[in-house]
Amino acid sequence: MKKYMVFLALILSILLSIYTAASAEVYPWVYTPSVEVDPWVNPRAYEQYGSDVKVIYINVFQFGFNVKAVQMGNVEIIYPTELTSSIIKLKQGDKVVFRVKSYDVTHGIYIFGYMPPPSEVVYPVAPGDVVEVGPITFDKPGKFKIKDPVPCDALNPFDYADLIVEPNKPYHMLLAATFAVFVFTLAYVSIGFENRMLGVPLNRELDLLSLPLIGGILRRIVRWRGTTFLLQFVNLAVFIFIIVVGLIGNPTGGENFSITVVWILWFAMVEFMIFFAGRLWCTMCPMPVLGEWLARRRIVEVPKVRKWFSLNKEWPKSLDNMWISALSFLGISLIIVWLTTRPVITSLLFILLIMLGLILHLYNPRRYFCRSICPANGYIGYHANASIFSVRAKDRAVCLRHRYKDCVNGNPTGYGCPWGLYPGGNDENTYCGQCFECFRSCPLNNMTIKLRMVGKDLANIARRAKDRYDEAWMGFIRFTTAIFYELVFFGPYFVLKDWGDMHRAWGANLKSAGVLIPTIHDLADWFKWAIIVSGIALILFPAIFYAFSWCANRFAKSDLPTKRVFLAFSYSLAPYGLLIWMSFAISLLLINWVRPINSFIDPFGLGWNLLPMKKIPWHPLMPDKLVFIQAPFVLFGLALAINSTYNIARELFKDHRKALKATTVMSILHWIAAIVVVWVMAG
Amino acid sequence: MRSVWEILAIILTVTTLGAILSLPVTLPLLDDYFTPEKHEPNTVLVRAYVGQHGGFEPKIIKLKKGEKVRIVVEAMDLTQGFAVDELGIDIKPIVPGDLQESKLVYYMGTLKPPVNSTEIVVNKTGVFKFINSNPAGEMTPFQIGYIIVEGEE
Repeated sequence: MKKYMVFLALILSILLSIYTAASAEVYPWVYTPSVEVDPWVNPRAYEQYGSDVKVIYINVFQFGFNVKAVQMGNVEIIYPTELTSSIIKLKQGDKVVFRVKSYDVTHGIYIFGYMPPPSEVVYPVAPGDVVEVGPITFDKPGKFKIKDPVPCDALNPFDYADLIVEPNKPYHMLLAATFAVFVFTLAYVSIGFENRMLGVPLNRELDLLSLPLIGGILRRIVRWRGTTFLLQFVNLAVFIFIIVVGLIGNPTGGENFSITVVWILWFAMVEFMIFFAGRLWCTMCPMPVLGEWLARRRIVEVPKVRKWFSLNKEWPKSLDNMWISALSFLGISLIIVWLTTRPVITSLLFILLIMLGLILHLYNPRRYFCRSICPANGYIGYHANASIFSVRAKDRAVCLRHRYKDCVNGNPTGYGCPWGLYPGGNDENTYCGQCFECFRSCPLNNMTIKLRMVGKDLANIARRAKDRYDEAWMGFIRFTTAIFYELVFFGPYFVLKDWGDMHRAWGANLKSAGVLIPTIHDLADWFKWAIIVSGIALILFPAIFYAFSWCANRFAKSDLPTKRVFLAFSYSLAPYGLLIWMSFAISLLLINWVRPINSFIDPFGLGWNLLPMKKIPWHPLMPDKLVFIQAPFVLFGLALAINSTYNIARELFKDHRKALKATTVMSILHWIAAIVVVWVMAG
Repeated sequence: MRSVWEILAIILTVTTLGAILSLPVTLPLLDDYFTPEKHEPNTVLVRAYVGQHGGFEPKIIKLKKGEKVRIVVEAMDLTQGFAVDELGIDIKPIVPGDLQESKLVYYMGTLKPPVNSTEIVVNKTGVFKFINSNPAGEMTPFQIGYIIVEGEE
C-alpha cells in the first residue's frame, strides 16, 4: 500500500510540475508591466538635438532588440509591429538618438560601421536604466547590424537587430549583380563549350605528386603511416579536450573552448577545407579512430597477420547510402542553437559520435560509420565533388591491368581501402575519405593527388545517379539550411531564434545541465521551428526544384523521365551550396574571430591567461564591408550552379540546344535562390 | 610483435588522453596555478556566476578583524555586481573577461574603465551578507554569500 502511495505521489508531482511548467509565462521579466515608460521617453529630445531628430526607443533583452517606439521631434510616436520590431528602417541622412532600455540583465548596443568598436568603447545598458546613444547621422546607405557587445549569457553571440539605411544601394547593386551573373553565365553556356567550367577545360588537371621537388616531398608525406596517425592523434587530443571542457568548463558558450573552437573555427574552416582540400578533414577526423584502432588492433602499423577485433559482419545494403548522414545533419541543424551555445550539448554530441564510431567498428572494421552515419561525412562528401582537390589513380589502365588489387585487399604496407572503394577506378570524391591507405598499399605507385577545376566529375556523377535520392536530399538540406544558419546566427528575427532555443536563457555545462529542461510551451515552439526548417528542406524546396526540373525537361523536349532529370540537376547544388556555406563561414569568422583566440588564452573560461597576451574585447573585422565580402561567394556559386547545370544537361541529353533550354529554366531557380540569399544578407 | 613506432604511438596516445581525461580531477590544481589572484597575499578571489550557474564561488569568505584585504570579483558569464550593504561596499559593473579591456560609457555619458576589485578593512566582527547589486536575471536574489569576520570584540 505504501509503495502505491509513493508511486501515486510521484505521478502527481510529475503531472503538477508539467502543469506548472506549461502554465509558466515565457520571459516574464522581459515585459514587466509595472515599469513606466515615462523615464524612458525623452520629451525634450527635439529641444536638445533639433526638430529633425528621430528618437528610437529600443528594448534590449535576452536575446534580441525590440523597437518599442519611434519619436519624430515631439509630435509623432509610431509603434512598429512585433514581427518587424527588430528591423529599423531609416532614410539616408536621418539624425537619430537611440534610447535603449533593458529589463532583464546588462546588455549593450553597438551598430556595425556607425559606432566605435567595442574594443574601444562599450555602451552598457543595466537593467532598469536608460542609455542614450546619439545623435548619429546615418549618411552611409545599406544594411547594418546592431549587436549586443556585452555578454548576456547563452545566445549573446546571436543577439542582433537590422538597421537599414534607405535607399539600400548595396542591396540593389547586389541584386543587379546576381542578374548580371545569371545573364552572362547563360550567355557563356549558350556558346556551347563542352566539358568546361567558366572557361576552364575540365580535363585539365595538375598532378601534384609529379611536380618537381614538392611532388617527392608530398609523396613521402602521404605514404608515411605516421602522417595520418599524427593528424588523427592531435585532433583526437583536441576533441577529447573539447568534450572535457564542455562538461566542466564555463557554462556560457562564448567563454568555453568547446563552443568557440568547434562552432566558429572548425565549422568555418571545414567549408574552406572542402573547397581547397576535398575531404582532408576526414583524413584527420578523430571520431572513428578509436573504433578503427581497436578493430585493427593497431594504431600505426599494419600487422603481418590481419585479424580484426570486430565481428566483421556485412553492412546492411539498405543503410549503405547517405540518408542517415543527411537526416542527422538536418537533426543537428534543428538543435544548432543549443549546440552552438551550450557546451554540455556539444560534448554529448561528440561522445555520441565517438561511441557510435567505436560500436560500429566492432560490427564491421571498415569505415561504415563515416560512410553512412556521420552527420558531417554526408555533406563533406557531397560537396567534395565541387572541390579542386582529388585523390585518383595516375593511370587507370595500370590499375586495370594489375591483377591483385592491393588497394582493395591490402598488403603488409597498407590496409585495403577502409571506405570499401576500389581506389584505382574511383572517379568521384563522395565516398573517398582521403585516408591515403591506397598510396601505401599500391605497389605500382599509381595513386596521386590531382588539382582540377571545380565540378569536374559532377556531370558524370549526375548521369549515373538514377536513384540517388539520398544524395539529392543531402543537397537540398544543405542548401536550405545555409539560409537558416545565416538567419539564426546573424538575422534579426529573435522569434525564430527563441523557438530554436526553446526559450532557455542560460548556458550549461554538466553541473548546470538542468537549466535546459524545457517546458511544454518551449517544446511546442521548438516544434514550430523544426517543422518550418524540415518542411522547407525536405519538402518545399525539393518540390520547387522538381517543378523546375519538370519544366526544364518539357522545355527541352526530352524523352527522359523527369525523375532522372530532377536527380541529375540536383548535383548543381554541390558547388552552389558549398559557396553559400563559404559565404556564411566567412561572416562567422569575421564577426567572431576574437572568441576562439580568447578561448586559447582561457580555455575553461575561468579567467586564466595561458598565452602572453590579454583577452581581446569582441569586435568584428570590417563590419561595414561584410556584405561585399560575402557576396562574391554567392555570385561565384550562382555562376558555378548554372554552368554545372549545363554540363549535366549536356551529359544527359547529348544535345546542346536541349541542354541550353533546360539550363535556362533551371537557372531561373538558381537566380531566385541567389536573390533570397542576397536578401537575407543585405536586404 | 609490435614495432617500436607502434609502442611509442600507444604510449603517446594513452598518456595524452589519460592526462586530458583526468582534467576533472586536476582542474582545481591547475586553477590554483593559473589564477594569479589566488597567489597574491591578502587577496580574495570571488567568481560570480548567475544564480542558475551556482551564484558566487566561494560563498563564504573568512576574514580577520582589522585585516586589509583586496576582494577581486570576476564576472564569469554576464555583467555582475558585488555589494555588502553593512560595509558600504558596492562595485559594479563587473564585466566578464574580454570586456575588461574596454572603456565603458556608464551611464549617460560617463566614460570609465570597468571595475572588479575593492580594498576593505573590516573593524567589526560578525557575519555580513554579500549580494549581486547588478541584476542578472530572475535568480539574482539567490546570488548570496557571506563574509565572516572573526577576532576579538
